[in-house]
Amino acid sequence: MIPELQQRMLAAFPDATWGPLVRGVREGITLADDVVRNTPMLASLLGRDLKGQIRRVGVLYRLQQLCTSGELPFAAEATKMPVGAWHWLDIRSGNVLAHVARTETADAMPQDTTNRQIKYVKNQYDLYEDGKVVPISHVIAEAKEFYCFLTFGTDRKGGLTHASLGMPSSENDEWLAFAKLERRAQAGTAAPADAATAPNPKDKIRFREHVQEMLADKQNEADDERSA
Amino acid sequence: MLGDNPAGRGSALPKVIPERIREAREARGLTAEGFGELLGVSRAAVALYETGQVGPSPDVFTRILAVTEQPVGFFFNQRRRKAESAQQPFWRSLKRMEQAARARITRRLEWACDIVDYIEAFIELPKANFPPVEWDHEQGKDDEIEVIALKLRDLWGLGRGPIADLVSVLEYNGVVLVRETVACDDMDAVSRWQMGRPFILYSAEVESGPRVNFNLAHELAHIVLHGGVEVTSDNLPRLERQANRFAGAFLLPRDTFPLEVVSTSLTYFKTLKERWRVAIAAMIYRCKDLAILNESQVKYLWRQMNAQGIRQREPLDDAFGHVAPTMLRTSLEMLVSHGVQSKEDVERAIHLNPADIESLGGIDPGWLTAGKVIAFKPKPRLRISDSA
Repeated sequence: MIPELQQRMLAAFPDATWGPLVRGVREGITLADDVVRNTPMLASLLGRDLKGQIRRVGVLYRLQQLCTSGELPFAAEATKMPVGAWHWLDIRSGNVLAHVARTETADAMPQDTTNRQIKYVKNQYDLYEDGKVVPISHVIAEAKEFYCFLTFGTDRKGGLTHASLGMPSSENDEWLAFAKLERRAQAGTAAPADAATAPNPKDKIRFREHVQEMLADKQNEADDERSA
Repeated sequence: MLGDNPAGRGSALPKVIPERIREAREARGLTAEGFGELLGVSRAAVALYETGQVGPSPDVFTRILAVTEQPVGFFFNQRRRKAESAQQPFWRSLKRMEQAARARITRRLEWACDIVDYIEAFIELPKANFPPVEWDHEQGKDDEIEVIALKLRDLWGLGRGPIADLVSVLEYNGVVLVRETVACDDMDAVSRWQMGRPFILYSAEVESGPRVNFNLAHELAHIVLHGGVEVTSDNLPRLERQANRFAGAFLLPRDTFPLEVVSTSLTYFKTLKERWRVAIAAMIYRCKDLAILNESQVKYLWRQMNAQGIRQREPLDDAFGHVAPTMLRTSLEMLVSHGVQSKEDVERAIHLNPADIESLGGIDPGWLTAGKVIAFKPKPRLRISDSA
């Protein structure tokens, strides 16, 4: 993990967006499962083989909707994958590009398959320019684009098992930056992240002035007695 | 009516306030006839006591104390509140709800007002914070209700998302909330303005958080839209429809909620319920109001809810913890814990049975009486009225 990259990723996908992000994923899964459940062909044994794909479409569709409506402050566009005729959703926040991928566990790396292609942006930089070691902060500042994954997983009933954000290393199967998102929105009974903060009525309950003065006098008398 | 004392003719208890006898009776949910039976006098005698034409004898008065469970001081002290300073409460149904139940709950609201009146001598409570509203309940359009609901959200800084804790929001903005057992199937909540402050009494028997939210928002509508409106059986259905529209508009704003309705399945509405804390049924009505769903879709959803047996009790009804009102409780506890008033002072000044003060104030039972010797109260005896 590289702190500078972690910072960069969290600046692009700040804490405040995690709730709506996870919500989008969950709603997308629900949408997809509705389609499967209500379409006899898809609900059949053969049709259920496509469930994962349909959930993927549901998630991408819903996230794109949230970005278009402004509930998520990102630009989202469905574009063609590099290989074949499949599409994915480019989610951009500043110079960070994210793609959505299903994974088996919260911190697993996405697997590169025909329909789960991954595209690493390799940060090519001459680390020994002028014979000096270039600090990582300099490298990061100079990079034109960063790449992230929004990963999610589901259980058999369609419940969200995890949702994470990670910045992959270009060479090894490891995360250079990583955050678990589901802690906020997955617990269904917790207040939604974008719900209005509940004010505390106690903040507006106070003694009237004459009572405050009386209490202050009492306190002074008690202090005097103690000091006498 | 043996032993009764015609008022002004050497009555042993000339200062009993007749209206207080009626108030105490109604607060116990008793009809004049039932009260008379418990006192061992006729209904006519009860009417005489309550209008002040005859004062109760010491013996009858002792039984009044026992039946009503109110302290002696209750019957001898005037309240500061004036009947004309309170508007008629908003009942969901004038037909279904019994008169005695309505009278009982109205008295509870009045007593809550008495407690607030007492507290406010020492403590500043949140002021009623409402926008100026111009609303014609006879001619007003639904669109205006939508605008007013959003205006209130803006004033209260609620944005356009879900409201997770409506109880705190209301109290923070000066609404006095009382949550207690109402023992009445046809009443979930009732509200009215009293002495310049809005009060809502809502049923502790309704445990579903989303339903409580809608009930509170519905009462909020009456507070905002219908202050000063005289409720009649003719205009009540219209006022109720307006209140439901407002509740939907307030809890599910028209510029955000529709963006999230992307499926018409019950499973999806369950997801929305988890987020918006509003019952699925209320969301279906809201979708109908906003023309997100057409008639057939709505009917289909109702059929599905019936088929799944979730029309009365929905999924997630128990999923969200209940937030208890804190304003009255905090205030009373502050008075005692800072030594401004003792528990005895509280009881004496409010002139109510301690259990009533505790229940209305949302305080644990026994808070006022803990460690005290309970005064002996004779049990009422039933007997045939002498005048019957």
